[in-house]
Amino acid sequence: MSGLAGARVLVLEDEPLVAMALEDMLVALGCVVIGPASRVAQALELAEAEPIDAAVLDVNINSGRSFAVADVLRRRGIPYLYATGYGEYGVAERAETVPVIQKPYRQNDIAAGLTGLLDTATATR
Amino acid sequence: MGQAACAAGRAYFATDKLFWNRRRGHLFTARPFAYGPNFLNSFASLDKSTLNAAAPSLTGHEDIFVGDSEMARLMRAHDWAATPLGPPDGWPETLKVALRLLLTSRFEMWLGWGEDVAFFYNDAYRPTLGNKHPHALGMPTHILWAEIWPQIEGRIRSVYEKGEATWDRALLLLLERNGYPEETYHTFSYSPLIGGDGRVEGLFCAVSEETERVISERRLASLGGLAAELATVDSRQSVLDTAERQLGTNLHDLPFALIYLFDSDGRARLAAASGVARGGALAPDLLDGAAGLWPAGRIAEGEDRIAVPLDGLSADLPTGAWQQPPSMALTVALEGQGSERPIGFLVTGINPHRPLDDEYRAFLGLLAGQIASALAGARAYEAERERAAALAEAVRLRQEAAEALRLANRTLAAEVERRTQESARLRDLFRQAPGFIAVLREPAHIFELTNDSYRQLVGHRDLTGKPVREALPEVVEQGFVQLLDSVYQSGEAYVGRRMPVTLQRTREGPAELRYVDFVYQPIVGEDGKVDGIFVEGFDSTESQKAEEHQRLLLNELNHRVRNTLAIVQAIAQQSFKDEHASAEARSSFDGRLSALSAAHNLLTRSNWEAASMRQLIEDAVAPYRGEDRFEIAGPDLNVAPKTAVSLALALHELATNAVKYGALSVPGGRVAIRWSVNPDSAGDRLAFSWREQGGPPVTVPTSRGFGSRMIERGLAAEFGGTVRIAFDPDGVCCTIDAPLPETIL
Repeated sequence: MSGLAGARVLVLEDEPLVAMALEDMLVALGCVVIGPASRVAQALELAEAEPIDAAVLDVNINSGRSFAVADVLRRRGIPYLYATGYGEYGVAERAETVPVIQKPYRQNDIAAGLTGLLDTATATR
Repeated sequence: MGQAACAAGRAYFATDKLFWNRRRGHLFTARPFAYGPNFLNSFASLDKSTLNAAAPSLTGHEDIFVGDSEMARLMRAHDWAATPLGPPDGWPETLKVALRLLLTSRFEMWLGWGEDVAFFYNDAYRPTLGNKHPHALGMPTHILWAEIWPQIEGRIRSVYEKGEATWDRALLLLLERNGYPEETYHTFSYSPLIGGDGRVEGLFCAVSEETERVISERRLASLGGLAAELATVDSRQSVLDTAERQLGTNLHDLPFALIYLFDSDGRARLAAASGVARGGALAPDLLDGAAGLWPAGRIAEGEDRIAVPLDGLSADLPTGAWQQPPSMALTVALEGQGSERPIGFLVTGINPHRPLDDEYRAFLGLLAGQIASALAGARAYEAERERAAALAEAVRLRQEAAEALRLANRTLAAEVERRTQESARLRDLFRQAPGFIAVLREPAHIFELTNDSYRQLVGHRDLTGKPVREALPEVVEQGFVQLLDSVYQSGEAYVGRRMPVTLQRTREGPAELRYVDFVYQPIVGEDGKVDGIFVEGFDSTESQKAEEHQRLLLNELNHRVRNTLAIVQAIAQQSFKDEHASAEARSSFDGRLSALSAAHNLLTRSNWEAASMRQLIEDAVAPYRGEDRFEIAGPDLNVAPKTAVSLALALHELATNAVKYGALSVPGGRVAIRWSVNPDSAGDRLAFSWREQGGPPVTVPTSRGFGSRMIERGLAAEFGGTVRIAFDPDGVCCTIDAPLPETIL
C-alpha cells in the first residue's frame, strides 16, 4: 500500500480511543503496530526489547512525559515523532529536531510523518 | 510874648467872618507879576561884603529888629522902603511885635506878612533855607518856596482866610536849597497874625526841621528789619530772598538794589534785585569781565565802595519812591569772613533827593555788612547742615544696606529652603520610585546612587562607592559588566527585555533568578563625554512568572482541546467504519475537524488573544496549495478568536467545495482571496471575497449543503454583516460585507 508496508511502529498513547484510531490508521497503512503502550514503563520495555523501525510517541502520558522513551529510541538509533496536543511548545524544552504531529491528526498526517522518518533513516544509514 | 500871640489869635477869632469877606479874592493874586524871573537877580548884589558892612552897626529900627543876630542886622540893613511893605516905621504893631519875638527866639521861626506873605526868618531858620539865605529876606513866599508852593499854599490860605492855625508833623518837603530838590522833613505850625483892625495880616510859623531824624529812623528801620529777618534764616538762598524783600521796603534810600555774588569762576552773578527787574541793562544776570555796568573787577581786586554815575542811562532807570530816577549808584563790597576776597557786592541806587554823605555811605555799608555776614553764616550753617545731611545719608545708606542684606539673606534662605525641599522631594521620588534606579560613575561603574527598589533587587548590600564588579560579583560572568563597558564606551543606550539575572540576594541563601526590564542610559558630562550610566528598570520576574503560568495554562487547555478533538476523531473513525458511512463522509468529517484544529493551533500560538487574518487564510488553504493556485491579498488584520474559528471552518468548506466541484477540481483553476478595509459613514467595513476562476461551469446546487448553510448563516451571524455565495457560471464567489469593529481587533 505504501513505503510503510511492514514497518514496525511503536505506539505510545495513553488515550485508548486515540490509540485505537492510530492503530487503525497504521494498520491501514500496512504497518505493524508495536504496542500500543499506554504507559511509559511499558513503552520503555518495548523500546528496549522489540525490533522497531519507528515510533509515534504521545508526549504527555498520565501527567508524565515520554522523553525517557525517546532517549532509549535515540540511543538505539530508532527514528520517532511526537504526536501531541501541546504542539511544538510541549517539546521545545527538549531542543530536539524531531517531527511533531498536532492532534487531532489524520491518517495522511501519520503517513507523511512516518515516511519522512524512514526516508531520513534510510538515507543516513 | 507867646501869651501876646495867643491873645491876638483869640481876638481874631471873634471877627473872622467879617475879615474874610472883605479880603476874599485879593490875597496873593494882586501882585504876583511884580516878582518876575528877574526878581531874584535884584538880590544878587547883596553880597557878603555888603552884609558884613551892615552887620556891626545897628543903623536904625533897633526897636523892631532887635538883638545882634545875623538876621536882625540884615533886616536893619534891608531897604524896606523899596518893598511893598514900605519903611518899617509904618509897619503895623502886630508885625513889629512878631518880629521882636522872632528875632529874639532861638527856636526856628519865620513869619510872612501882607498879601505877598513877605518872608521874615530868624537865625535858627537859616539852615532850612540853605542857599536861599540871605536873599530870602522879604521875598514873597510863593516865589521863595516855589518848589513847595503847591503843598503849602492851602495851609497858608487856611490861615489867612479862615484864621485857623495849621499843624504838620514831619511833612516831606523837597526843598531846592542845596542845588537840588532835597528831601526834608518839617514839623511846623502856621498861626495867624492879627492886624490892628482885627484882620489876619500875616502868619507866624514855628518850625522844626526833622530831616535827619526821619531819615535816620527810616534807615535804622531798614537795618533793624533786615537784621531781624536775617536772624531767622539759615540758607544762602533765604538770606538773599530776605535781603531782596527788605531792601525793597526802603525805596526812598534804595530806589533799586542789586546783590551780585562771585561764582567759582570769579564772575559776578545776580543773586537778588529789588526795585528793578532782573536781566535788564541795569541788572544783568551775569557780569562777565569789565564789560558790565557794575565794576565787579575792581570790587574783586579789593576796592570797597565805588560810586557809579547813572546819568547816561536815565531812560530805563527805576525811580523807587521818587518821581525822579537816581543819578548815581554805589557799589559796596560784600566782604567774606576773615581776610578772604569779597564774595560779591551790593549795588544801590542813590536817593536823588539826598546827598551821598557819610551817613548814607555808612548806612549802605551796614546793609552790605549785614548781608555779607548773613551769607557767610548761612554758608557755614549750610556746610554744617550738609555735613549733618551727609552723615544722616551715610547712616541711612548703612541702614538700607543692612536692610538689603537682611532681605537678601531672607531670600537666600528661602531659596535654600526651596531647593532643599525640592531636592528632598526629588530624592524621595527617586528613592520611592517603583522602578529600580542606580547611577554609576566612572569607567569602573561605581555606584553613586541607588534607590530602594534597586537595593531590594540586589539584596540590600553595600553599594555606594563600590564598583559593580566588586559590589555584585555574581553578575560579572553573566555579561552585565561587559554590557556596561559597551554602553560607557559607545555612548549608546542599551535596552534589556526580560533579561534573566542571577543574584545573590541573601548572603547565605542560594542565588536567585530574576527577570529584569531595564535601560542602561549613558550620562554625558559637560565635556560631551560619557562619565556615568543611569540604570533604570523594573524587576519583571513576577510578570515573567505570571506570563509563563498563563502560557502553561493555555497550553494545557489547548492540549486538552486537541486531545478531545483527537478522541472525537477516533470516535468518528470507529463510528464510520466499514459500511456505516462512505469514505467521502469520513474524509469530510476529518477535514472539518482538521480545519477546526488548525484554527485552534493558530489561536494557541497567539495565546488566544487574536489570530492573524492572513495566517488564518493561509493555514486554511494550506492542504490545497501548490502550483500557485491561490492569490491571497489584503491587509494583515487581527481577528477575534471566535470569529477566527468560524472563518477557518468557512474557508475549509469553500476550499473543499472548490476541490470537489470548482476551480480546484481542474488543473489551471484558481482562487482569488481578497479583503480590504473601507471607510464608511458608520465606520470602517470589512470587504472579503473568495472568487474562483478557471473551473468547470458552475451549476447552482439544487439543495444547500452543510457548507453553504454554515457559511451563509453561521458566518453572517458571526460577522454581524452580510455573507453571500454566488454560483456564477464562471466560478463560485463568496463575499462578506461586515462592520469592522465587530470582527476585527
